[in-house]
Amino acid sequence: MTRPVLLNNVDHGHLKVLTRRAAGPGDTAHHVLTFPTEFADVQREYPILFRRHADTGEYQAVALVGLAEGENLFLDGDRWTGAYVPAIVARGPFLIGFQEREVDGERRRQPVVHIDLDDPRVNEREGEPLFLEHGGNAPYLQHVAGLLSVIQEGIETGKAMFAAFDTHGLLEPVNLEMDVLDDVRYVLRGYWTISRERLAALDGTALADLNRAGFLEGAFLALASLANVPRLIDRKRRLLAGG
Amino acid sequence: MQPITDRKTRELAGIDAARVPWRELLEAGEPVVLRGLVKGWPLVEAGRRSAVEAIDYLLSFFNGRTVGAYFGAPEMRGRWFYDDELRDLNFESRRTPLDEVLEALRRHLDEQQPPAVYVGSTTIDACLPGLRAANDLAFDDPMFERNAPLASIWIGNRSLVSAHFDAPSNMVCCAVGRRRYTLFPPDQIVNLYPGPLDPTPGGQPVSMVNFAAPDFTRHPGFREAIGAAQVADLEPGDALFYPAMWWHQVEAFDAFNVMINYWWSTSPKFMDTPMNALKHALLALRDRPESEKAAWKHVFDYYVFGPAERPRAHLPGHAHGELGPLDELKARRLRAELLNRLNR
Repeated sequence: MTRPVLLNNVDHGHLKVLTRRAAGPGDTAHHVLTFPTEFADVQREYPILFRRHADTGEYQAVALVGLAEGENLFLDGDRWTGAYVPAIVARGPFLIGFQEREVDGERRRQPVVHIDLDDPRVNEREGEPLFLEHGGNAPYLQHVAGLLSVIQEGIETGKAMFAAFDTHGLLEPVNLEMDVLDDVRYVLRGYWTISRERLAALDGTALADLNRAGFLEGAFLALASLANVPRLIDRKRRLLAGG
Repeated sequence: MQPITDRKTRELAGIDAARVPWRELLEAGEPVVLRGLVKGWPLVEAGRRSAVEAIDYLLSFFNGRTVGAYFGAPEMRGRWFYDDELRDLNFESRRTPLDEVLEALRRHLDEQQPPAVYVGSTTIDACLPGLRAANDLAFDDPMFERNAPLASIWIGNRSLVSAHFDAPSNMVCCAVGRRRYTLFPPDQIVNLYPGPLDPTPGGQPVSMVNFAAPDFTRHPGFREAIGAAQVADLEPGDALFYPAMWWHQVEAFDAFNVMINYWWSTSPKFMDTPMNALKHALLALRDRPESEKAAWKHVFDYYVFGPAERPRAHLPGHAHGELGPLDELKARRLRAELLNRLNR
Protein backbone atom coordinates (compact mmCIF):
# COMPACT_ATOMS: atom_id res chain seq x y z
CA MET A 1 0.00 0.00 0.00
CA THR A 2 1.25 3.43 -0.81
CA ARG A 3 -0.37 6.74 0.02
CA PRO A 4 1.49 9.42 -1.95
CA VAL A 5 0.47 13.00 -1.22
CA LEU A 6 1.83 16.37 -2.26
CA LEU A 7 4.38 17.36 0.38
CA ASN A 8 3.77 20.69 2.13
CA ASN A 9 5.18 22.44 5.17
CA VAL A 10 1.80 22.83 6.90
CA ASP A 11 0.43 19.28 7.00
CA HIS A 12 3.88 17.66 7.09
CA GLY A 13 5.79 20.21 9.15
CA HIS A 14 6.80 17.67 11.82
CA LEU A 15 7.60 14.66 9.67
CA LYS A 16 10.96 12.93 9.84
CA VAL A 17 12.45 10.21 7.68
CA LEU A 18 14.71 7.37 8.76
CA THR A 19 17.51 7.68 6.23
CA ARG A 20 19.71 4.86 7.51
CA ARG A 21 17.08 2.43 6.31
CA ALA A 22 17.79 2.08 2.61
CA ALA A 23 15.26 -0.64 1.92
CA GLY A 24 11.71 0.46 1.46
CA PRO A 25 8.66 -1.72 1.16
CA GLY A 26 8.81 -3.73 -2.03
CA ASP A 27 12.56 -3.24 -2.62
CA THR A 28 13.15 -6.89 -3.45
CA ALA A 29 14.58 -6.91 -6.96
CA HIS A 30 18.11 -7.91 -7.88
CA HIS A 31 18.39 -4.81 -10.03
CA VAL A 32 17.33 -1.19 -9.49
CA LEU A 33 16.44 1.41 -12.10
CA THR A 34 19.23 3.78 -12.94
CA PHE A 35 19.45 6.84 -15.17
CA PRO A 36 21.99 8.43 -17.51
CA THR A 37 22.16 11.40 -15.13
CA GLU A 38 23.92 9.15 -12.59
CA PHE A 39 25.77 6.68 -14.88
CA ALA A 40 29.13 8.26 -13.98
CA ASP A 41 28.59 7.42 -10.28
CA VAL A 42 26.81 4.12 -10.81
CA GLN A 43 29.39 2.65 -13.22
CA ARG A 44 32.09 2.65 -10.53
CA GLU A 45 30.32 -0.03 -8.51
CA TYR A 46 27.43 -1.59 -10.41
CA PRO A 47 27.01 -3.28 -13.78
CA ILE A 48 24.63 -1.16 -15.88
CA LEU A 49 22.35 -3.31 -18.04
CA PHE A 50 19.28 -2.62 -20.12
CA ARG A 51 15.83 -4.16 -20.03
CA ARG A 52 12.80 -3.75 -22.24
CA HIS A 53 9.67 -2.54 -20.52
CA ALA A 54 7.10 -5.34 -20.64
CA ASP A 55 4.30 -3.07 -21.90
CA THR A 56 5.89 -0.27 -23.89
CA GLY A 57 8.93 -2.12 -25.29
CA GLU A 58 11.07 0.89 -24.34
CA TYR A 59 14.55 0.27 -22.99
CA GLN A 60 15.29 1.03 -19.35
CA ALA A 61 18.67 1.03 -17.65
CA VAL A 62 19.15 -0.97 -14.47
CA ALA A 63 22.02 -1.34 -12.02
CA LEU A 64 22.57 -4.98 -11.09
CA VAL A 65 22.69 -5.45 -7.30
CA GLY A 66 22.27 -9.21 -6.90
CA LEU A 67 22.48 -12.53 -8.66
CA ALA A 68 19.59 -14.58 -7.30
CA GLU A 69 16.00 -13.53 -7.71
CA GLY A 70 15.18 -10.84 -5.12
CA GLU A 71 18.78 -10.68 -3.87
CA ASN A 72 20.43 -7.36 -3.02
CA LEU A 73 24.11 -7.83 -2.22
CA PHE A 74 24.44 -4.14 -1.30
CA LEU A 75 22.03 -4.39 1.61
CA ASP A 76 23.34 -5.33 5.03
CA GLY A 77 20.14 -5.59 7.01
CA ASP A 78 18.54 -2.37 5.86
CA ARG A 79 21.84 -0.49 5.48
CA TRP A 80 23.20 0.20 1.99
CA THR A 81 26.87 -0.82 1.77
CA GLY A 82 27.77 0.68 -1.62
CA ALA A 83 29.65 4.01 -1.68
CA TYR A 84 27.09 5.47 -4.09
CA VAL A 85 23.41 4.79 -3.43
CA PRO A 86 21.43 4.83 -6.70
CA ALA A 87 19.01 7.77 -6.78
CA ILE A 88 15.93 5.55 -7.00
CA VAL A 89 16.95 3.99 -3.66
CA ALA A 90 18.33 7.14 -2.03
CA ARG A 91 15.11 9.05 -2.66
CA GLY A 92 13.53 6.99 0.16
CA PRO A 93 9.79 7.51 0.58
CA PHE A 94 9.62 10.40 -1.90
CA LEU A 95 8.13 10.41 -5.36
CA ILE A 96 7.89 12.91 -8.19
CA GLY A 97 4.47 14.27 -8.94
CA PHE A 98 3.39 16.90 -11.38
CA GLN A 99 1.40 20.02 -10.93
CA GLU A 100 -0.02 22.08 -13.73
CA ARG A 101 0.46 25.77 -13.42
CA GLU A 102 -0.36 28.59 -15.73
CA VAL A 103 2.45 30.94 -16.57
CA ASP A 104 1.61 33.82 -18.92
CA GLY A 105 -1.54 31.99 -19.97
CA GLU A 106 0.30 28.83 -20.92
CA ARG A 107 0.20 25.51 -19.15
CA ARG A 108 3.45 24.36 -17.60
CA ARG A 109 3.92 20.97 -16.02
CA GLN A 110 6.08 21.36 -12.97
CA PRO A 111 7.62 18.52 -11.01
CA VAL A 112 6.70 18.60 -7.31
CA VAL A 113 7.70 16.42 -4.37
CA HIS A 114 5.27 13.79 -3.12
CA ILE A 115 5.76 11.65 -0.02
CA ASP A 116 4.36 8.18 0.66
CA LEU A 117 2.78 8.57 4.09
CA ASP A 118 2.44 4.78 4.45
CA ASP A 119 6.18 4.18 4.09
CA PRO A 120 7.47 2.86 7.46
CA ARG A 121 10.48 5.19 7.28
CA VAL A 122 8.15 8.20 7.63
CA ASN A 123 7.43 9.18 11.25
CA GLU A 124 7.41 12.11 13.68
CA ARG A 125 10.00 10.88 16.19
CA GLU A 126 13.32 9.97 14.66
CA GLY A 127 15.33 10.58 11.53
CA GLU A 128 16.00 13.59 9.35
CA PRO A 129 13.48 16.44 9.64
CA LEU A 130 11.99 17.64 6.35
CA PHE A 131 11.39 21.22 7.38
CA LEU A 132 13.19 23.86 9.40
CA GLU A 133 11.66 25.44 12.50
CA HIS A 134 9.57 27.99 10.62
CA GLY A 135 8.71 25.91 7.59
CA GLY A 136 11.74 26.39 5.34
CA ASN A 137 13.14 23.37 3.50
CA ALA A 138 15.60 21.38 5.60
CA PRO A 139 18.91 20.29 4.01
CA TYR A 140 17.67 16.70 3.73
CA LEU A 141 14.61 17.79 1.74
CA GLN A 142 16.81 19.88 -0.54
CA HIS A 143 18.99 16.80 -1.07
CA VAL A 144 15.91 14.73 -1.90
CA ALA A 145 14.70 17.37 -4.36
CA GLY A 146 18.09 17.07 -6.10
CA LEU A 147 17.74 13.27 -6.27
CA LEU A 148 14.25 13.55 -7.69
CA SER A 149 15.49 15.85 -10.43
CA VAL A 150 18.29 13.36 -11.21
CA ILE A 151 15.51 10.80 -11.69
CA GLN A 152 13.14 13.10 -13.56
CA GLU A 153 15.77 14.47 -15.94
CA GLY A 154 17.21 10.96 -16.25
CA ILE A 155 13.88 9.53 -17.40
CA GLU A 156 13.64 12.15 -20.14
CA THR A 157 17.28 11.82 -21.22
CA GLY A 158 17.15 8.03 -20.99
CA LYS A 159 14.21 7.75 -23.38
CA ALA A 160 16.05 9.68 -26.07
CA MET A 161 19.42 8.08 -25.35
CA PHE A 162 18.28 4.46 -25.40
CA ALA A 163 16.19 5.05 -28.53
CA ALA A 164 19.34 6.42 -30.19
CA PHE A 165 21.35 3.36 -29.01
CA ASP A 166 18.63 1.17 -30.52
CA THR A 167 18.62 3.12 -33.80
CA HIS A 168 22.37 2.64 -34.13
CA GLY A 169 22.07 -1.07 -33.30
CA LEU A 170 24.21 -0.69 -30.19
CA LEU A 171 22.06 -2.79 -27.88
CA GLU A 172 22.42 -6.57 -27.97
CA PRO A 173 20.74 -9.21 -25.80
CA VAL A 174 23.00 -10.94 -23.33
CA ASN A 175 22.80 -13.91 -20.99
CA LEU A 176 25.08 -13.30 -18.04
CA GLU A 177 26.63 -16.55 -16.91
CA MET A 178 28.36 -16.21 -13.59
CA ASP A 179 30.34 -18.98 -11.93
CA VAL A 180 30.41 -18.13 -8.27
CA LEU A 181 31.76 -21.43 -6.94
CA ASP A 182 32.52 -24.73 -8.65
CA ASP A 183 28.97 -25.86 -8.16
CA VAL A 184 27.20 -22.49 -7.93
CA ARG A 185 26.39 -20.80 -11.23
CA TYR A 186 23.88 -18.08 -12.04
CA VAL A 187 22.50 -17.27 -15.47
CA LEU A 188 20.72 -13.95 -15.78
CA ARG A 189 18.51 -13.61 -18.84
CA GLY A 190 16.43 -10.86 -20.36
CA TYR A 191 19.09 -8.14 -20.33
CA TRP A 192 20.70 -6.13 -23.06
CA THR A 193 24.15 -4.53 -23.07
CA ILE A 194 26.05 -2.11 -25.28
CA SER A 195 27.76 -4.12 -27.98
CA ARG A 196 31.49 -3.43 -27.89
CA GLU A 197 31.90 -4.50 -31.52
CA ARG A 198 29.10 -2.31 -32.85
CA LEU A 199 30.24 0.68 -30.81
CA ALA A 200 33.74 0.25 -32.22
CA ALA A 201 32.35 -0.05 -35.74
CA LEU A 202 30.30 3.20 -35.68
CA ASP A 203 31.28 5.56 -38.50
CA GLY A 204 32.25 9.19 -38.01
CA THR A 205 28.79 10.59 -38.68
CA ALA A 206 27.11 8.27 -36.19
CA LEU A 207 29.76 9.03 -33.56
CA ALA A 208 29.39 12.75 -34.11
CA ASP A 209 25.57 12.51 -33.88
CA LEU A 210 25.68 10.53 -30.65
CA ASN A 211 28.32 12.82 -29.20
CA ARG A 212 26.46 16.00 -30.12
CA ALA A 213 23.34 14.66 -28.42
CA GLY A 214 25.41 13.93 -25.32
CA PHE A 215 24.75 10.17 -25.61
CA LEU A 216 28.17 8.79 -26.52
CA GLU A 217 29.51 9.11 -22.99
CA GLY A 218 26.50 7.12 -21.72
CA ALA A 219 27.34 4.24 -24.08
CA PHE A 220 30.95 4.12 -22.87
CA LEU A 221 29.99 4.39 -19.20
CA ALA A 222 27.49 1.52 -19.57
CA LEU A 223 30.12 -0.56 -21.35
CA ALA A 224 32.80 0.20 -18.75
CA SER A 225 30.39 -0.71 -15.95
CA LEU A 226 30.51 -4.39 -17.01
CA ALA A 227 33.89 -4.57 -15.25
CA ASN A 228 31.84 -4.61 -12.04
CA VAL A 229 30.38 -8.06 -12.79
CA PRO A 230 33.38 -9.87 -11.25
CA ARG A 231 33.19 -7.58 -8.20
CA LEU A 232 29.53 -8.46 -7.78
CA ILE A 233 30.48 -12.16 -7.96
CA ASP A 234 33.09 -11.52 -5.25
CA ARG A 235 30.40 -10.00 -3.03
CA LYS A 236 28.31 -13.11 -3.56
CA ARG A 237 31.26 -15.38 -2.75
CA ARG A 238 31.93 -13.48 0.48
CA LEU A 239 28.26 -13.86 1.38
CA LEU A 240 28.36 -17.59 0.73
CA ALA A 241 31.61 -17.87 2.72
CA GLY A 242 29.75 -16.33 5.62
CA GLY A 243 31.14 -12.84 5.79
CA MET B 1 -26.61 49.01 -17.97
CA GLN B 2 -25.74 52.49 -16.74
CA PRO B 3 -22.10 53.41 -16.14
CA ILE B 4 -21.26 54.51 -12.56
CA THR B 5 -20.11 57.92 -13.80
CA ASP B 6 -20.57 60.22 -16.80
CA ARG B 7 -16.87 61.03 -16.84
CA LYS B 8 -15.43 59.64 -20.05
CA THR B 9 -11.85 58.61 -20.65
CA ARG B 10 -9.84 61.05 -22.78
CA GLU B 11 -9.93 60.17 -26.49
CA LEU B 12 -7.54 60.38 -29.39
CA ALA B 13 -8.97 59.94 -32.88
CA GLY B 14 -7.33 59.27 -36.21
CA ILE B 15 -4.31 57.40 -34.83
CA ASP B 16 -2.76 54.98 -37.32
CA ALA B 17 -2.21 51.44 -35.98
CA ALA B 18 1.35 51.65 -37.33
CA ARG B 19 2.05 54.93 -35.48
CA VAL B 20 0.91 54.55 -31.92
CA PRO B 21 2.51 57.31 -29.82
CA TRP B 22 3.74 54.80 -27.23
CA ARG B 23 6.12 57.09 -25.39
CA GLU B 24 3.58 59.92 -25.04
CA LEU B 25 0.87 57.54 -23.84
CA LEU B 26 3.16 56.14 -21.17
CA GLU B 27 4.39 59.55 -20.03
CA ALA B 28 0.88 61.06 -19.87
CA GLY B 29 0.14 58.43 -17.23
CA GLU B 30 -3.62 58.27 -17.70
CA PRO B 31 -6.05 56.17 -19.72
CA VAL B 32 -6.65 57.12 -23.36
CA VAL B 33 -9.17 55.72 -25.84
CA LEU B 34 -7.80 55.38 -29.37
CA ARG B 35 -10.96 55.31 -31.47
CA GLY B 36 -10.86 53.01 -34.46
CA LEU B 37 -7.18 52.15 -33.96
CA VAL B 38 -7.60 48.55 -35.15
CA LYS B 39 -10.76 48.88 -37.27
CA GLY B 40 -8.80 47.55 -40.24
CA TRP B 41 -7.98 44.19 -38.60
CA PRO B 42 -9.48 41.26 -40.54
CA LEU B 43 -10.72 39.89 -37.19
CA VAL B 44 -12.65 43.12 -36.55
CA GLU B 45 -14.09 43.05 -40.08
CA ALA B 46 -15.15 39.40 -39.71
CA GLY B 47 -16.83 40.22 -36.39
CA ARG B 48 -18.70 43.12 -37.97
CA ARG B 49 -20.20 40.69 -40.47
CA SER B 50 -21.23 38.20 -37.77
CA ALA B 51 -20.11 36.40 -34.63
CA VAL B 52 -20.04 33.15 -36.60
CA GLU B 53 -17.61 34.62 -39.13
CA ALA B 54 -15.35 35.81 -36.33
CA ILE B 55 -15.43 32.32 -34.78
CA ASP B 56 -14.56 30.70 -38.11
CA TYR B 57 -11.79 33.23 -38.66
CA LEU B 58 -10.24 32.39 -35.29
CA LEU B 59 -10.63 28.64 -35.92
CA SER B 60 -8.64 28.99 -39.15
CA PHE B 61 -5.53 29.64 -37.00
CA PHE B 62 -6.16 27.07 -34.29
CA ASN B 63 -3.31 24.61 -33.70
CA GLY B 64 -5.11 22.07 -31.50
CA ARG B 65 -3.77 23.29 -28.14
CA THR B 66 -5.79 23.44 -24.95
CA VAL B 67 -6.35 26.73 -23.15
CA GLY B 68 -7.43 27.65 -19.63
CA ALA B 69 -11.20 28.05 -19.97
CA TYR B 70 -13.78 29.18 -17.41
CA PHE B 71 -17.31 27.78 -17.31
CA GLY B 72 -20.16 29.15 -15.19
CA ALA B 73 -23.88 28.57 -14.75
CA PRO B 74 -26.34 30.86 -16.58
CA GLU B 75 -27.45 32.31 -13.20
CA MET B 76 -24.10 34.03 -12.60
CA ARG B 77 -24.79 36.15 -15.70
CA GLY B 78 -21.15 36.23 -16.64
CA ARG B 79 -19.94 37.82 -13.38
CA TRP B 80 -16.72 35.87 -12.74
CA PHE B 81 -16.53 36.14 -9.01
CA TYR B 82 -16.90 34.26 -5.71
CA ASP B 83 -19.79 32.23 -4.34
CA ASP B 84 -22.08 34.01 -1.86
CA GLU B 85 -20.13 32.76 1.16
CA LEU B 86 -16.75 33.76 -0.29
CA ARG B 87 -15.58 30.16 0.16
CA ASP B 88 -14.84 29.40 -3.45
CA LEU B 89 -15.05 30.84 -6.92
CA ASN B 90 -18.45 30.81 -8.64
CA PHE B 91 -17.14 28.99 -11.72
CA GLU B 92 -15.01 26.07 -12.82
CA SER B 93 -11.82 26.22 -14.81
CA ARG B 94 -10.76 23.41 -17.13
CA ARG B 95 -8.06 22.97 -19.73
CA THR B 96 -10.08 22.74 -22.94
CA PRO B 97 -9.15 22.73 -26.62
CA LEU B 98 -9.91 26.24 -27.92
CA ASP B 99 -12.11 24.93 -30.73
CA GLU B 100 -14.41 23.30 -28.16
CA VAL B 101 -14.70 26.61 -26.33
CA LEU B 102 -15.53 28.42 -29.56
CA GLU B 103 -18.11 25.77 -30.49
CA ALA B 104 -19.71 26.09 -27.05
CA LEU B 105 -19.96 29.85 -27.55
CA ARG B 106 -21.39 29.33 -31.05
CA ARG B 107 -24.06 26.91 -29.75
CA HIS B 108 -25.42 29.48 -27.29
CA LEU B 109 -25.18 32.60 -29.49
CA ASP B 110 -28.95 33.11 -29.65
CA GLU B 111 -29.82 32.37 -26.03
CA GLN B 112 -30.98 35.09 -23.63
CA GLN B 113 -29.24 33.52 -20.62
CA PRO B 114 -26.50 31.23 -21.87
CA PRO B 115 -24.03 29.39 -19.66
CA ALA B 116 -21.01 31.65 -19.12
CA VAL B 117 -17.89 30.73 -21.09
CA TYR B 118 -14.63 32.63 -20.96
CA VAL B 119 -11.06 32.29 -22.08
CA GLY B 120 -8.95 34.94 -20.44
CA SER B 121 -5.37 36.09 -20.84
CA THR B 122 -4.27 33.39 -23.30
CA THR B 123 -1.02 33.84 -25.20
CA ILE B 124 -2.02 34.23 -28.85
CA ASP B 125 1.04 32.63 -30.40
CA ALA B 126 0.56 29.51 -28.24
CA CYS B 127 -2.88 28.60 -29.59
CA LEU B 128 -3.56 30.79 -32.65
CA PRO B 129 -0.20 31.06 -34.42
CA GLY B 130 -0.39 33.36 -37.43
CA LEU B 131 -3.34 35.39 -36.15
CA ARG B 132 -1.05 38.30 -35.39
CA ALA B 133 0.32 38.45 -38.95
CA ALA B 134 -2.64 40.62 -39.97
CA ASN B 135 -4.05 41.55 -36.56
CA ASP B 136 -1.32 43.29 -34.62
CA LEU B 137 0.18 46.63 -33.65
CA ALA B 138 3.62 47.96 -34.53
CA PHE B 139 5.89 48.06 -31.48
CA ASP B 140 8.59 50.30 -32.86
CA ASP B 141 9.47 52.27 -29.75
CA PRO B 142 12.93 51.53 -28.28
CA MET B 143 11.24 50.66 -24.95
CA PHE B 144 10.06 47.38 -26.55
CA GLU B 145 13.55 46.23 -27.56
CA ARG B 146 14.26 44.57 -24.22
CA ASN B 147 10.66 44.10 -23.15
CA ALA B 148 8.58 42.64 -25.96
CA PRO B 149 4.89 42.98 -25.11
CA LEU B 150 2.91 39.87 -24.21
CA ALA B 151 0.03 39.53 -26.71
CA SER B 152 -3.00 37.75 -25.29
CA ILE B 153 -6.51 37.00 -26.44
CA TRP B 154 -9.71 37.11 -24.36
CA ILE B 155 -12.80 35.36 -25.71
CA GLY B 156 -16.24 34.91 -24.19
CA ASN B 157 -19.90 35.75 -24.11
CA ARG B 158 -21.40 38.39 -21.84
CA SER B 159 -18.99 38.90 -18.94
CA LEU B 160 -18.06 41.07 -16.02
CA VAL B 161 -14.63 40.92 -14.43
CA SER B 162 -14.57 42.91 -11.21
CA ALA B 163 -12.17 45.78 -10.78
CA HIS B 164 -8.55 44.78 -10.23
CA PHE B 165 -5.12 46.07 -11.17
CA ASP B 166 -2.35 44.55 -13.28
CA ALA B 167 1.34 45.22 -12.83
CA PRO B 168 2.22 45.97 -16.49
CA SER B 169 1.00 48.77 -18.77
CA ASN B 170 -1.84 47.69 -21.01
CA MET B 171 -3.03 48.35 -24.55
CA VAL B 172 -6.44 46.77 -25.07
CA CYS B 173 -7.87 46.24 -28.55
CA CYS B 174 -11.59 45.59 -28.70
CA ALA B 175 -11.95 43.27 -31.71
CA VAL B 176 -15.44 41.73 -31.52
CA GLY B 177 -18.39 42.87 -29.38
CA ARG B 178 -18.75 45.98 -27.20
CA ARG B 179 -16.72 46.44 -24.04
CA ARG B 180 -16.81 48.86 -21.14
CA TYR B 181 -13.84 49.66 -18.92
CA THR B 182 -14.51 51.43 -15.62
CA LEU B 183 -11.17 52.84 -14.53
CA PHE B 184 -9.79 54.14 -11.23
CA PRO B 185 -6.38 55.59 -10.40
CA PRO B 186 -4.19 53.42 -8.11
CA ASP B 187 -4.89 55.53 -4.99
CA GLN B 188 -8.52 54.32 -4.99
CA ILE B 189 -7.58 50.87 -3.66
CA VAL B 190 -8.98 51.69 -0.22
CA ASN B 191 -12.36 52.70 -1.70
CA LEU B 192 -12.63 49.59 -3.85
CA TYR B 193 -12.59 47.04 -1.00
CA PRO B 194 -10.33 44.36 -2.50
CA GLY B 195 -11.21 40.71 -1.89
CA PRO B 196 -8.93 37.89 -0.70
CA LEU B 197 -5.37 37.67 -2.00
CA ASP B 198 -6.06 34.00 -2.61
CA PRO B 199 -8.01 32.51 -4.30
CA THR B 200 -8.80 35.13 -6.91
CA PRO B 201 -10.98 34.81 -10.02
CA GLY B 202 -8.13 35.66 -12.37
CA GLY B 203 -4.86 35.96 -10.49
CA GLN B 204 -5.32 39.42 -8.95
CA PRO B 205 -7.44 40.46 -5.97
CA VAL B 206 -10.73 41.97 -7.16
CA SER B 207 -13.03 44.65 -5.76
CA MET B 208 -15.86 43.22 -3.66
CA VAL B 209 -18.13 46.11 -4.64
CA ASN B 210 -21.03 45.22 -6.93
CA PHE B 211 -20.93 48.27 -9.20
CA ALA B 212 -24.44 47.55 -10.51
CA ALA B 213 -25.92 47.72 -6.99
CA PRO B 214 -23.35 49.16 -4.57
CA ASP B 215 -23.96 48.51 -0.88
CA PHE B 216 -22.87 51.86 0.56
CA THR B 217 -23.37 50.63 4.11
CA ARG B 218 -20.68 48.03 3.69
CA HIS B 219 -18.63 49.97 1.17
CA PRO B 220 -19.10 53.66 2.05
CA GLY B 221 -15.81 54.70 0.48
CA PHE B 222 -17.05 53.56 -2.92
CA ARG B 223 -18.81 56.96 -3.27
CA GLU B 224 -15.38 58.52 -3.32
CA ALA B 225 -14.20 55.93 -5.85
CA ILE B 226 -17.10 56.91 -8.11
CA GLY B 227 -15.87 60.50 -7.89
CA ALA B 228 -12.48 59.39 -9.20
CA ALA B 229 -13.79 56.94 -11.81
CA GLN B 230 -13.85 57.26 -15.58
CA VAL B 231 -15.51 55.08 -18.19
CA ALA B 232 -14.30 53.96 -21.59
CA ASP B 233 -16.95 52.44 -23.86
CA LEU B 234 -15.32 50.56 -26.70
CA GLU B 235 -16.79 49.48 -30.03
CA PRO B 236 -15.13 46.83 -32.20
CA GLY B 237 -11.99 48.38 -33.65
CA ASP B 238 -11.39 50.76 -30.71
CA ALA B 239 -8.37 50.53 -28.45
CA LEU B 240 -7.73 51.68 -24.91
CA PHE B 241 -4.44 52.39 -23.21
CA TYR B 242 -4.24 52.47 -19.44
CA PRO B 243 -1.17 52.69 -17.26
CA ALA B 244 0.17 49.97 -15.00
CA MET B 245 -1.64 49.60 -11.67
CA TRP B 246 -4.85 51.39 -12.65
CA TRP B 247 -7.90 49.55 -11.35
CA HIS B 248 -10.29 48.42 -14.08
CA GLN B 249 -13.60 46.62 -14.19
CA VAL B 250 -14.22 45.02 -17.56
CA GLU B 251 -17.62 44.25 -19.04
CA ALA B 252 -18.33 42.60 -22.37
CA PHE B 253 -21.89 43.05 -23.60
CA ASP B 254 -22.45 40.79 -26.58
CA ALA B 255 -23.08 37.11 -27.24
CA PHE B 256 -19.55 36.83 -28.63
CA ASN B 257 -16.67 39.10 -27.62
CA VAL B 258 -13.00 39.04 -28.45
CA MET B 259 -10.34 41.34 -27.09
CA ILE B 260 -6.63 41.31 -27.78
CA ASN B 261 -4.32 43.02 -25.34
CA TYR B 262 -0.66 43.80 -24.99
CA TRP B 263 0.98 43.96 -21.60
CA TRP B 264 4.39 45.39 -21.28
CA SER B 265 6.74 46.57 -18.63
CA THR B 266 9.67 48.93 -18.95
CA SER B 267 11.52 47.30 -16.06
CA PRO B 268 14.32 44.77 -16.53
CA LYS B 269 13.23 41.13 -16.47
CA PHE B 270 15.36 40.29 -13.43
CA MET B 271 13.09 42.40 -11.25
CA ASP B 272 10.59 40.39 -9.22
CA THR B 273 6.87 40.95 -9.06
CA PRO B 274 6.13 43.49 -6.30
CA MET B 275 3.36 41.14 -5.12
CA ASN B 276 6.16 38.92 -3.75
CA ALA B 277 7.51 41.89 -1.81
CA LEU B 278 4.00 42.60 -0.55
CA LYS B 279 3.49 39.04 0.65
CA HIS B 280 6.87 39.06 2.31
CA ALA B 281 5.97 42.36 3.98
CA LEU B 282 2.85 40.69 5.41
CA LEU B 283 5.16 38.04 6.86
CA ALA B 284 7.83 40.45 8.06
CA LEU B 285 6.13 43.74 8.94
CA ARG B 286 2.38 43.97 9.23
CA ASP B 287 1.87 42.49 12.68
CA ARG B 288 4.69 44.33 14.45
CA PRO B 289 3.90 47.08 16.98
CA GLU B 290 2.65 50.35 15.45
CA SER B 291 5.73 52.27 16.59
CA GLU B 292 8.04 49.77 14.89
CA LYS B 293 5.93 49.81 11.73
CA ALA B 294 6.09 53.62 11.68
CA ALA B 295 9.87 53.43 11.95
CA TRP B 296 10.06 50.86 9.14
CA LYS B 297 7.95 53.15 6.99
CA HIS B 298 10.74 55.74 7.25
CA VAL B 299 13.28 53.08 6.33
CA PHE B 300 11.30 51.96 3.28
CA ASP B 301 10.73 55.55 2.22
CA TYR B 302 14.46 56.13 2.42
CA TYR B 303 15.61 52.99 0.57
CA VAL B 304 12.71 52.08 -1.71
CA PHE B 305 10.07 54.72 -2.30
CA GLY B 306 12.21 57.86 -2.19
CA PRO B 307 14.73 58.92 -4.83
CA ALA B 308 16.94 55.93 -5.73
CA GLU B 309 20.10 58.09 -5.61
CA ARG B 310 19.60 59.45 -2.10
CA PRO B 311 20.79 56.43 -0.06
CA ARG B 312 24.02 56.22 -2.09
CA ALA B 313 24.72 59.87 -2.88
CA HIS B 314 26.92 60.36 0.19
CA LEU B 315 28.87 57.10 -0.29
CA PRO B 316 31.87 56.39 -2.53
CA GLY B 317 30.97 54.31 -5.60
CA HIS B 318 32.87 51.21 -4.49
CA ALA B 319 30.69 51.05 -1.36
CA HIS B 320 27.31 51.23 -3.14
CA GLY B 321 26.70 47.48 -3.37
CA GLU B 322 23.01 46.84 -3.83
CA LEU B 323 22.29 50.51 -3.15
CA GLY B 324 23.64 51.13 -6.65
CA PRO B 325 21.57 50.38 -9.75
CA LEU B 326 20.88 46.65 -10.01
CA ASP B 327 22.04 44.63 -12.97
CA GLU B 328 21.69 40.97 -13.90
CA LEU B 329 24.57 39.90 -11.65
CA LYS B 330 23.64 42.00 -8.62
CA ALA B 331 20.06 40.78 -8.93
CA ARG B 332 21.31 37.18 -8.90
CA ARG B 333 23.29 37.77 -5.73
CA LEU B 334 20.34 39.44 -4.05
CA ARG B 335 18.04 36.58 -5.08
CA ALA B 336 20.44 33.95 -3.73
CA GLU B 337 20.75 35.84 -0.47
CA LEU B 338 16.98 36.16 -0.11
CA LEU B 339 16.34 32.52 -0.98
CA ASN B 340 18.84 31.54 1.62
CA ARG B 341 17.48 33.86 4.31
CA LEU B 342 13.84 33.03 3.64
CA ASN B 343 14.54 29.35 4.16
CA ARG B 344 14.37 29.02 7.91
